[in-house]
Amino acid sequence: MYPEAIQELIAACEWDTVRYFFISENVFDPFIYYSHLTPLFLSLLIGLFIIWKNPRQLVSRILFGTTMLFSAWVFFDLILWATDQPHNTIFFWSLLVLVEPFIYAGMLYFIYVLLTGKDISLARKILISLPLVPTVALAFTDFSLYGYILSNCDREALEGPLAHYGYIVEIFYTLWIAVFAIEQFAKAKDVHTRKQIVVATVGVVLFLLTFSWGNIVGSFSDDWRMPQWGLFGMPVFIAFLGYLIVRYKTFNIKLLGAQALVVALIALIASMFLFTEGFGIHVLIGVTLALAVGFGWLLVKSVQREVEQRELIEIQEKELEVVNKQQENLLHFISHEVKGYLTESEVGFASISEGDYPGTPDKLREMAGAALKNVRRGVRTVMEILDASNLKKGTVNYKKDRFDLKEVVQSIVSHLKRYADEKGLMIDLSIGEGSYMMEGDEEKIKQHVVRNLIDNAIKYTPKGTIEVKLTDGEKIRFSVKDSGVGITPEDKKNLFTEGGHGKDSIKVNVHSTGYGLFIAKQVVDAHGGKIWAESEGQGKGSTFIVEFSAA
Amino acid sequence: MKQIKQETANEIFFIVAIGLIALSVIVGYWKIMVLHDFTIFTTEEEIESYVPLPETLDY
Repeated sequence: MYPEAIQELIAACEWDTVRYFFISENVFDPFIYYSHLTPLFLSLLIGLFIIWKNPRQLVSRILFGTTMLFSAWVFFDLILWATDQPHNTIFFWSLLVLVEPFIYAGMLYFIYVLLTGKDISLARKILISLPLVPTVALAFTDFSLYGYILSNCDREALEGPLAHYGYIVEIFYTLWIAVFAIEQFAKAKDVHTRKQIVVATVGVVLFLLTFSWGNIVGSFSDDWRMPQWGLFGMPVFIAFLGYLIVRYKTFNIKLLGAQALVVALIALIASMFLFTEGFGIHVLIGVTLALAVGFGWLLVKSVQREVEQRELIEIQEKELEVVNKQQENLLHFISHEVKGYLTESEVGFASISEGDYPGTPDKLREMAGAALKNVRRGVRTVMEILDASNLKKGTVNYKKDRFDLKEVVQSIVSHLKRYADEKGLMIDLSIGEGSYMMEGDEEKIKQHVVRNLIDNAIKYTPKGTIEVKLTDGEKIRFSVKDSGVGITPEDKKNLFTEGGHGKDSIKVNVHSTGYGLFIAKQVVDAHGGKIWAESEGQGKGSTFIVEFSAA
Repeated sequence: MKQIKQETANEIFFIVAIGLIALSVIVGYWKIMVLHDFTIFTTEEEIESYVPLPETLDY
């Protein structure tokens, strides 16, 4: 009990008796309930939700602890607004002085673990905790609060140096967070991580600065009404947290965005009961609240369905990737095996057709020659598939030699001329003056680019001329123009893709694997070159152009 | 082994920290809520004599 004189002074103030710790007429402005209860419930909800979804995750535990401390702080502050007992004011105010820096330390620990993905060392924990030692030791002494002011009826305490020390510690922790986040930002290698760092840090720093601003302004101005806005830093932080969870899947929670939005909306509408009066307006708020609950439920369900579908697609995508990989490996294995058998057969047929066995009947030699032709075509097909498979797997090595592209083109044209002659086609080779020396893998350029393009032109041109050109300018340009089937705009899109047959090409060349141009593009790309096709359309011929840098 | 030692050290650290905070709150509760051991300023003069407020300081 207080001395009689004190009791008389308390009675003279005619304060309302508090009910349930925080309900009292002493809270003169309904906005105080609104500014406290909204962040308190939101903070409680987010903390409980995150720990419920990921109870074992360290970052969830830290966030849970910090949001609980913040909720406790807000509740203690509300008690201060409502209480009529000096000892309650002194005790809960001292608790605020004790709890407040811990919220900042918690946020620093949260940012450390969130941005690095691991716990911090014990030494660092001790370092973070050191500034809190005076607060814990002196929280309930005169260093924290000098005493209760009963000279007026404002129900306030006079803050001591420890309370002001607490504000310095809070600014120190906030700066520490900012510096650490900048360090992590500089270290981050990808844009995704950098954006995540920015969103998390801005959310935390905004929350802490708004919170500090409220308390520091209140402390030094002795006006505790205006700083109520400082508590809204928590909903801002929750908004950033929600964005992190939805956009970057932090905490492995997928539905939080919609749920948080609905809960926040319902909390805001419900809080209107606190500062409105009149039956009519309360009915209107009640109807709005019921509609918000109904539509909110529908929204959450709809987002839930969408998330489930997205998850299903992600699972199927992963399964498809595995199946594709298995198919590629199988294709590679089969092609490799078939190539072995074909090569053995090629040797056998070549020996018979070239007369290595005297006395072989001419008819049999003729048949062996025909078989050899087919086997060689088979080897080329299998080699194309194998090459494409190796290119996709990234297991192709390129040589880097200096060679003359002019010689390569001349050699291929002279080799393929007889095939063109067999079809009655003209090959017109035109090589401009200049040097055609370049650096790269001569054999791959020769087989997969030069030979492939001229061979294609022969295959897809029923009659007419094939113009092969080599010109020297800023870049070496090799082009093959034919008067064949041409390329439709739709075919052009898939021309250089894996298995990208043209619509009419398959009718002309049934043996096409569709890998030729895909391989040619890969080889040209690997040499830093460019390959493209031009055609005025179906039946109007086509031109394939390749550009390389000169050595 | 090092991991276990680290975890144990962390646990000890948190237990000691929470223990000290709890002790501070219990002592504070006893001192303020039970014993009412705190100053009550009934006049402005008491405040000024207890705390040298900036406006009362002699420069």
